[in-house]
Amino acid sequence: MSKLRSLTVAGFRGILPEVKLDMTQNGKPTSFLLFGRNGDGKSSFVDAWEWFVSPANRIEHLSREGAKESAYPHFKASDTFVEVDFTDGSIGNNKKVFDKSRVTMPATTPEISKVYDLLKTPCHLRYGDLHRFVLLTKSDKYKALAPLMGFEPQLLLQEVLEKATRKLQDAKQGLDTEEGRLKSGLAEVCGNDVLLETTFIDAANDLLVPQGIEKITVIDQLKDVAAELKAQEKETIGKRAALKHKLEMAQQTLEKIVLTATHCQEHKDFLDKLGTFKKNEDLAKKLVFVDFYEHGMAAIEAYENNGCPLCERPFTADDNMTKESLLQAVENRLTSLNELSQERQALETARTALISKFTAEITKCSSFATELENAGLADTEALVNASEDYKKEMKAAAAAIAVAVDQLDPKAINTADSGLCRDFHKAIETTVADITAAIEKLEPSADDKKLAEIVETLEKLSSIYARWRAHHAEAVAHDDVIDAFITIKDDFIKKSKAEVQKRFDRISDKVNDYLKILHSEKRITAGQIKLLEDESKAAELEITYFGQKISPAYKCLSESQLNSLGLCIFLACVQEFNPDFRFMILDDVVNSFDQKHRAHVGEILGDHFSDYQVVIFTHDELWFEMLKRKFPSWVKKTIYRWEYETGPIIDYARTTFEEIEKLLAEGNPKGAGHCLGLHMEGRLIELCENLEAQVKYRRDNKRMLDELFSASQTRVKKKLAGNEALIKLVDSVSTDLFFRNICDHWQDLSSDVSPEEIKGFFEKWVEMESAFLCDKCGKFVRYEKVAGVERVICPCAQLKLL
Amino acid sequence: MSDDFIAAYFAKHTADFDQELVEIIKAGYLPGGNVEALANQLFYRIQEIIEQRTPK
Repeated sequence: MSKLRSLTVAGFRGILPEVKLDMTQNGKPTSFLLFGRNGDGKSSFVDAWEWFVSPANRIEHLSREGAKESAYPHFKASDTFVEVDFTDGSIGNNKKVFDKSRVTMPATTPEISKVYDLLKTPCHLRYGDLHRFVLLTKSDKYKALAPLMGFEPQLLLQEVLEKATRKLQDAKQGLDTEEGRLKSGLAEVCGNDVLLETTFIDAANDLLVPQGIEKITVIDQLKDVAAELKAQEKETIGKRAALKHKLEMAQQTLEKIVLTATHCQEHKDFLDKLGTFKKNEDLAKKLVFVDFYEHGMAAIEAYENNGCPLCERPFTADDNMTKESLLQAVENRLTSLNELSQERQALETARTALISKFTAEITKCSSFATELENAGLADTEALVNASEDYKKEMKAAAAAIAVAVDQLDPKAINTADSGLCRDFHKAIETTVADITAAIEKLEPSADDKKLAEIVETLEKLSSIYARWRAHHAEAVAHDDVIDAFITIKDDFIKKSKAEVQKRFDRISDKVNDYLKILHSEKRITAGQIKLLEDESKAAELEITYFGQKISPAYKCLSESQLNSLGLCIFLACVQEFNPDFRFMILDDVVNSFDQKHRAHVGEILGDHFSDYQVVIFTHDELWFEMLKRKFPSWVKKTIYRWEYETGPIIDYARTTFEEIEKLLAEGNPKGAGHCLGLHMEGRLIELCENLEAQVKYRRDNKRMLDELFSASQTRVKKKLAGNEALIKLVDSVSTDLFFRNICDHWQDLSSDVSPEEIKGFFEKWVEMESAFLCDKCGKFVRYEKVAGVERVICPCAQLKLL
Repeated sequence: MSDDFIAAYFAKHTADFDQELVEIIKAGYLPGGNVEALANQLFYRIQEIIEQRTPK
């Protein structure tokens, strides 16, 4: 059975230089007791242990609070490691070294896997873990118990199966939604949303029979009959629709011609303007002189003499002409010619535009004939003839106006006056009316419409059926697989729960044994973890309180009572599920317990864990003293000081008597008196309880030393009246001159107390205390009355005072 | 350790169940694995089985 020789920690959390907790006494592994005040680094050892034994290299309570692996080393640490020396030679000395470059992957010795194998379940408990556990919800409690009771793997598989089931059910919901859509679609088509083949067949026959079409009898006919009727519809309605389309196209073409035939008026306006232009024909013929006049004006201006610059003859009086009047005359003529030139330019522009329009009209007249022919219109001769005449006129008019401006011929063909345009337009209107009438005749009949409706409905039915068929096949396969999967999942959970229940049952007796010791007042007589049947993974704490089962336990238990139940469960788990490694660490677990219940924890450890190596960290001085007395063979250490740079400074923890002797030897009677007073208080409380001495009730539960002593003394005199030596011993204490002083002022003795005073009283006290203590079991005697027989006897029966 | 329970469960109690599903559950289980990741993997494997078993 492996135990620990030592736990060495360096650079970890609150520990900087290497600190070794030597857990051996004369070379043998022993339980270990460490006292230290709050913040002295005790919990750093527990964290170090958890990190060392964690295959995931993680400290759970830190992870929960967001402190990940990088928070583990001491800020100033150059090396961070935990080293544990096991007594089992096959495991030996193992070390885990923190690697700052890979914080989740420390370097380990090869045998570390044997350490992981050795620990079936966690064997350390902090007050924080305990307090958190008892207040967890029932499902979180179940999860918290899983590692402690060793059913973590099956819980993992259970959670995986449950999560996968939820995902499958979500996917199935998607299929159900599609089925809903199909039902709505079917109801819309036939008024019935029952997705069955007969619904589709009946709905189809309801459409077919009134049309004199043979019934379908099997669902596969639905698609065929829909296709057949679709072809029929295409044959009748489709052809007409095509013809209608052609007529509509021809109609649109003709309507465009009518809409754009505005050129006739423009043609007339052009000819009128040409007639006006022709009135200035003589002047127009001089347009060729424009350049001459422009150069002439320049020449007259440049000629310096008063005469004609052309023949150089000077103007005479007979000429009635001067250079200036000559310039004015030429300029006037040039102005008239320029105006005329602009008119001609406008006429040419109008001519170009008109020719373009005539050309477009001619094109239109040429294109519609083909469309009329395609549309199958029979009586179009009048329109065609009118269009041909019109086209000829357009061509002739275009040719005439092409030369009309140059030849100044305003008598060119006037399309406005010819009437061909109107004739053509009238023929168009007649034809358009004919086409409209033809289109109307092509509209579907009532029978056609009915057939179209039937075809549409059958196609919808056929489409819904096809979708349903595919969907149904998938849904059936889905249901089959999910059912099969859920069968496995449910069976696994059922068997897993049964196995977990067995685990709960396995610790049940132990939990009750510990509770009986812890709650000797018998308010709580039993406690257990109850597996909740209706839920897949939930557990609750149940207790028997004044004979009545209460679940959950926190309905009636105080916080400390709940913690005590949690502690009993932990201790039972350690014992039951970690059989090959009898070791555990308890860190301040009695925080919420009063002195009496703390003493009972010591009893549990003594009675049920004597073969365990127990490591206890505490900041409670009284409990520390109590444990020191109770377990004299344990290694006892005290953290005397903690500093950031040095970490905890640990030294041998002296027994109270050793400490008092040391203080007296150092000339510190005040300190010795304080230490003795603290010790007396703890011992007298224990003695009063054991002897069932009556102590005056105090609301604040604080006892004065003299009250405790007096109650013990009275009880001893009553029950052990025959033991004169003992009574004399007790009296010698109470009559000592120092007794009153220490009873009233032990917490703050005056500085003039002499070492001799304390020493004399201390010796009397030691003698008296020893008289009630058994040398063999190390326990005080206790009063009991069995079958009317009174006894004052120690638990091992070696020391019997009555 | 209850890994033993899981091994024993598959060995003793699953003969009457859908063997294809049993096998993928067994194959997909990874001690200490992440629940979400394992559940997703299992879900996708089951979806594949559903697809295979859906008549075309």
